[in-house]
Amino acid sequence: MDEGCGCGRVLCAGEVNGRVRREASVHRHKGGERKIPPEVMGVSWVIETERSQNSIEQLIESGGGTKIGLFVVDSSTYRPVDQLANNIGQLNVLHHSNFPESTFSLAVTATNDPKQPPPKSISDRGFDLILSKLSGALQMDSSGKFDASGTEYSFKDFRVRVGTVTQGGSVKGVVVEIEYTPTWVANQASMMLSEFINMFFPEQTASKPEIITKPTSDLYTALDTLNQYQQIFNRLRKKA
Amino acid sequence: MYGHGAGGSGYSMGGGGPLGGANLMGRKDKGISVALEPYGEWKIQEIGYDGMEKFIQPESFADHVGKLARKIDWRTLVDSDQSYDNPNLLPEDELPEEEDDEEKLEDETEKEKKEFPPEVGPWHDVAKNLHESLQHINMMLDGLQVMQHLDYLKPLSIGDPIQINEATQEAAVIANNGKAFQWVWKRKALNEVQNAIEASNANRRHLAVGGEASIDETTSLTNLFFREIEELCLQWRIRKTGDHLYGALGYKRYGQRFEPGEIFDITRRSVPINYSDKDGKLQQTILQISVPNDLIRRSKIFVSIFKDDMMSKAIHTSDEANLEYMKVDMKQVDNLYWNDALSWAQETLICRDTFNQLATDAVHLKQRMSSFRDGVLIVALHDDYLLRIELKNYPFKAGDLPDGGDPYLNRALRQMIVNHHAKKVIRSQMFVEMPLTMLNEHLDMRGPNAFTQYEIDERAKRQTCVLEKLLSVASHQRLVKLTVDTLIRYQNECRDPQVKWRWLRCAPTNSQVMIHIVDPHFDFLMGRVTSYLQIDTDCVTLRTKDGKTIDCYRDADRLFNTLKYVNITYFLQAAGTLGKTGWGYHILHGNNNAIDVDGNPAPTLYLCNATSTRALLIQFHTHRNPEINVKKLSDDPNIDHPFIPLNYEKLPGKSFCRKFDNLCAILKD
Repeated sequence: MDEGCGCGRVLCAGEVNGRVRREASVHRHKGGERKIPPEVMGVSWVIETERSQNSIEQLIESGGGTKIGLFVVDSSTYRPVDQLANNIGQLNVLHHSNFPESTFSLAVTATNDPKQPPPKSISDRGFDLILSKLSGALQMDSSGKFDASGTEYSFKDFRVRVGTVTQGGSVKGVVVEIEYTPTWVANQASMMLSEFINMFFPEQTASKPEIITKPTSDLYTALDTLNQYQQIFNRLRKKA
Repeated sequence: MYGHGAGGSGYSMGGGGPLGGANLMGRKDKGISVALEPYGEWKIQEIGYDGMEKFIQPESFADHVGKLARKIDWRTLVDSDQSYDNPNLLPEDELPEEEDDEEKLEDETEKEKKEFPPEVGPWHDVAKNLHESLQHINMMLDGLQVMQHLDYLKPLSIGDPIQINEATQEAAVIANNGKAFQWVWKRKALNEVQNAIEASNANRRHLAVGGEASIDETTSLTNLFFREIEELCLQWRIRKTGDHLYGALGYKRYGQRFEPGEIFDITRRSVPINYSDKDGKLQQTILQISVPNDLIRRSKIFVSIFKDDMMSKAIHTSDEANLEYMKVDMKQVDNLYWNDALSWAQETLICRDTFNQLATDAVHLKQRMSSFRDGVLIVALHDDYLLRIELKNYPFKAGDLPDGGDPYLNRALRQMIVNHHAKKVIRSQMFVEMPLTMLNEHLDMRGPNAFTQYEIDERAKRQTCVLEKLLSVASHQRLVKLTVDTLIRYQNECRDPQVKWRWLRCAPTNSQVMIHIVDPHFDFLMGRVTSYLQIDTDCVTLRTKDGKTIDCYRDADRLFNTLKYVNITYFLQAAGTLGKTGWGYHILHGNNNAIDVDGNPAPTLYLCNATSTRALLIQFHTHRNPEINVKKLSDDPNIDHPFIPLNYEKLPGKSFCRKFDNLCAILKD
């Protein structure tokens, strides 16, 4: 791994392929730990794993990850009242501590038409207050609230968030979010993310999200990350 | 007399009288029957079976008047023009209710007219005249009251009182006299009015010219007082509470006004005092101002940069011996002109607040040393240079204050303080297509755009304190001076080639200079070489036109050497272009990065003439003339002639390009 830029690091943005947005000159080739400013949001791959949170944390730390803080992701479900059940689908409202001022809304349409994708939106936190005013149509399902909280690590160009998912106090599983920060074009980060997953979570290589596998160079958004979280929460809800 | 009747009176002894027909003795006399009866007897209403007689009490005077009054139609008497006095609209109390109302109304009114004829017909005019005269009397009473209590009306006597003897003079004579009298008093009244108006006009003209001498002294003082109050209100914030007039020395645009420590009292002097205005003329003032005691001094802030070395004097001492400002003579202060006193006090307040603000900022400064003592604040600028901010106090007297410090920095500090206070604390309300928010920070749509925490933190504007801004301005100013001095020294010492420089941009914290290097006799060949000097708050950087950057930091010598290096690169390019283009020489080798034995930059150029008979090796130095070596080239490769150094000074020509051109001409063939 001493080829390429010669910095001697395990994973280096400059050496994999030339399609990475960040230039290798950002590196300080002087030895020691390189500080990576997170800058804008990157491309994330969220997985749900059977391993324990502690074991994953130890794995990341032994690989060279540095703990930088905590993170929280929560999801609340709003269900329509009986009279409107045929007209309105349910609404999932999520928050992520990496986006402290934002509220993410993922709707589930009542018709479930596969051709028509369900609406999604990002808004500011005031949206939660507006939802409380709409209690006549949408009521919060307290029992269906999910929380994923844990530790955040910085690992070269990656951000790794390892957290335990709970629903109403009972633990449902462990979720890991791997964010590749240098780019926000999904297919550009695809190979880097695959390599990371292959290295640390080889059993998850098949669970690549659709957004990352798409050949188009669409920009990745925070909604895509939260969508992955919601899909995991939906799976965990069905689990006993 | 005998008999009784209604109106008679008398005494009867016959029957029917009170005593009946029998006399008291019960015997029949032949005397006269006398009955004493009142003239008017009360009528008997009824006689009871028990013999009780009930009389009808006759009407008293009040009853009689009331009875008559009820018969008078007053409405016709009061004002016949009023609609409600229309006799056609009389009340229908006694009218029976029938079907056709209008016809019945008309019939009824006619009936009422017939039934209630206006009995006060002949008194109608009298009542009307009485009413009018009453109104006139009321007006006269009002006029008298106004004359008595107020100054708006003053009675003037315009004629002698006339005593009319009614018994002797006839009515016509009275009327005639009355007419004549009317003409007389009217004319006199008009004359009086004319005189009064002329007097007021003259007074006004006099006032407009400005002379008050002729006007009453009290009035002139009152006018002076009101004029000064008006002037005071135009310039200062004034408030009146009851009888107490006070103002505020506060200068802040936003925030609370009329702070307790900034209030001054306004009173009126009993005797005006004289003062000399800015033109030297004597003026009068009747207002007296009382400023807070801690502001009875004149203050000024001086900002300067100085070098911290062993030779500088004690930097903290601020002439403590001069404590004249603490000796306050209240009598002398009271006799000051109010405008001067207020402006000095406000200036003192501003200086004091500014200094406190800077001292507070100095406490919060990170990675910068600062010290504060005796009204002097010292802050480390850069290298060995320090920024000194001093608050000096002077006595509260008229006169110019001494200058000090750097005028540019003094002005910059005042501008920063004004901007600091002029900044609105709260965002004004406006309509925006935004999420519901009151905060400035949320205008960047951080919520809907899903900003990460890092992005939010990076975008958050940290408010720079005034001292930090002043430090950056002072630092930049010092570097600008350093650059200008270096450029002037460079121009003086390096006459060849010609150096011209001009400002591209001058701002408080960054500036840019453009430098042209040209040989005027060879500009057709080389043109002019342009470089740029970027001056920031902590660094001077030279940028060549081809994008090379040389950091000179804050070192004047380094900058000078850099400019010299630019010089010799010009020579290198000029020699190459001149030799090749002008004389067809072949450039064998050129090295811009060569250095000499001392490690200084010394570019080299190796060329030969067109016929390859002579070779030239030139090495350019920053601190001395270029070294030019010539070598003869022979066809035999075994023969290697040595380089012969040429005396640069003895080469013909004044500039390097001229010398080189001549040399090329000599060595051409």
